[in-house]
Amino acid sequence: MNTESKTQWMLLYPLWLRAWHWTNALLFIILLTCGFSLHFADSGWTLVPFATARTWHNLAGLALTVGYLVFVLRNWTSGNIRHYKPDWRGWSSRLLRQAHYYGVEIFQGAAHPFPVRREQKFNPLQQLTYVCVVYLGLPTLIVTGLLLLRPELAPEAILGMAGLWLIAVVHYLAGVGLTVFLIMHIYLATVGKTLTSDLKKMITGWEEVTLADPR
Amino acid sequence: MFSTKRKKHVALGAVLASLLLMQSDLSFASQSDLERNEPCLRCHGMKTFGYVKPETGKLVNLSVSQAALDQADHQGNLCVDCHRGGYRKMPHPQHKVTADTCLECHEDERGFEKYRMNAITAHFKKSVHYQMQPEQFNCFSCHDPHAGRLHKMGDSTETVVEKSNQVCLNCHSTLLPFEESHAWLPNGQLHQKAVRCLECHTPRPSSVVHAIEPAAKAEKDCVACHSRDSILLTKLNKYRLGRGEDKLGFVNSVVMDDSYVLGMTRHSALDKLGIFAVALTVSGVSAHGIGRWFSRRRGKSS
Repeated sequence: MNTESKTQWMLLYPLWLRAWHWTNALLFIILLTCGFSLHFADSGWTLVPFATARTWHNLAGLALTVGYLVFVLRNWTSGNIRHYKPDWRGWSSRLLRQAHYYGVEIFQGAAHPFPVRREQKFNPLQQLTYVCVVYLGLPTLIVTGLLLLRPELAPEAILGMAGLWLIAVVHYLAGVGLTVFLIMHIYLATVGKTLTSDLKKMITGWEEVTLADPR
Repeated sequence: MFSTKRKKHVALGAVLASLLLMQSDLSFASQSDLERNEPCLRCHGMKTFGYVKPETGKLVNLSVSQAALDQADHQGNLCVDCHRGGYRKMPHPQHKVTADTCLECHEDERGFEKYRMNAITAHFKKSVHYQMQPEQFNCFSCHDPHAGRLHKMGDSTETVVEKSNQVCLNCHSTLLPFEESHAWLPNGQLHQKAVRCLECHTPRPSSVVHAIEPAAKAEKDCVACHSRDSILLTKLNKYRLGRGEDKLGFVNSVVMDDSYVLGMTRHSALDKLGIFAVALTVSGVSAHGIGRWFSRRRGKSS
């Protein structure tokens, strides 16, 4: 599909976006390692001592919060948010088309069904995932994390038990969900045109864009 | 201990009491009066009753609060049950016959096994307080027999913690301010409101909390509390363990009425779900990657 379309190299990932992405990557690894060390402190599998893990988890969480606010603002003002707005026409069939590609066609050497375009650099599944992560997962993680950092602000009781329990459970589940995302995100970075093409684009910011509309 | 204003009041009270009681004795007191503690509280019931000890120059508070006594465990006792002799003359002579420790009444052998005084005494003698000042330190250095009340089942953890910590802070707020000595402890104020000083300042595992250790030996391992086998289960929460509650599948859910303790109040199913989700994802992407590698090799060879 679209093998004969014209392409052009474009800067789709400006410096601020790449800086946020790689800072987030580092913070995620710190938060994940320290969060695991705190939650499973007595498991014998921890990588960081409890007191150190607490300090780093708090600092990384605050940095993630600041970075997130900067991203949301810059994403909106720069116009990059257009990539996060779903095109509802034929949305579900395009999702299935992308899923079919990942599940079947990729093993047959088929081309990507939705090549990168200037107006839409994400494929439908990628877009849905990013919207969920950025506008649902991260805010949930951040708000619950801030309440755990300042427990005196949490409700005193929820369902007759200490108010923090539900906040802690939601924080844990959000952490698990974003860990699953991180693993899939790293793996799917290898399914570009070459094994390392997606990695390179997140370093340089430049990507080969298809000019013709594939639909 | 006393403010300047209070000192003046105490001194004034002492002078008044001395004038009132000079050359007098308790021989006028009837048996029924004594049974109501009335002759004693006539003086000791005054809020500012005390004297300045000549040897040290320090004020000695001799006041007993009727209100505090009325809610104390000893509320039904007579003064003369413990203050047994030498009180007839006033001012009272130096050598009086008084119960110096709780053991004089509450020995296990006298039917008070439930208070575990023998075990408490053994632990107390190991405490840093007794080791450093065996002559000066006794039960009453910490526990006021005129106001003390044992914690009861149903008392909120907040109340238990506050009352217990106040016993330590009566001396340690001036001797060794908490903020200075506990600067290393994250969220120090929250910890102080949530757990007793005794959780970390007595050896583990132990439910008898009178063997208070030197500061250098205090518990500083966060995981001691923040784990499934938290030491809080054998100390602060020991009376709750028998309830066998299981709220929404949480481990150690008996403490969840009052607090959520990271690492202690865990949910086994959610822990397993998290590990399973991550393992499944790693397996899935690994299998997918291997599939891609094989299909690419097959493509090249064909």
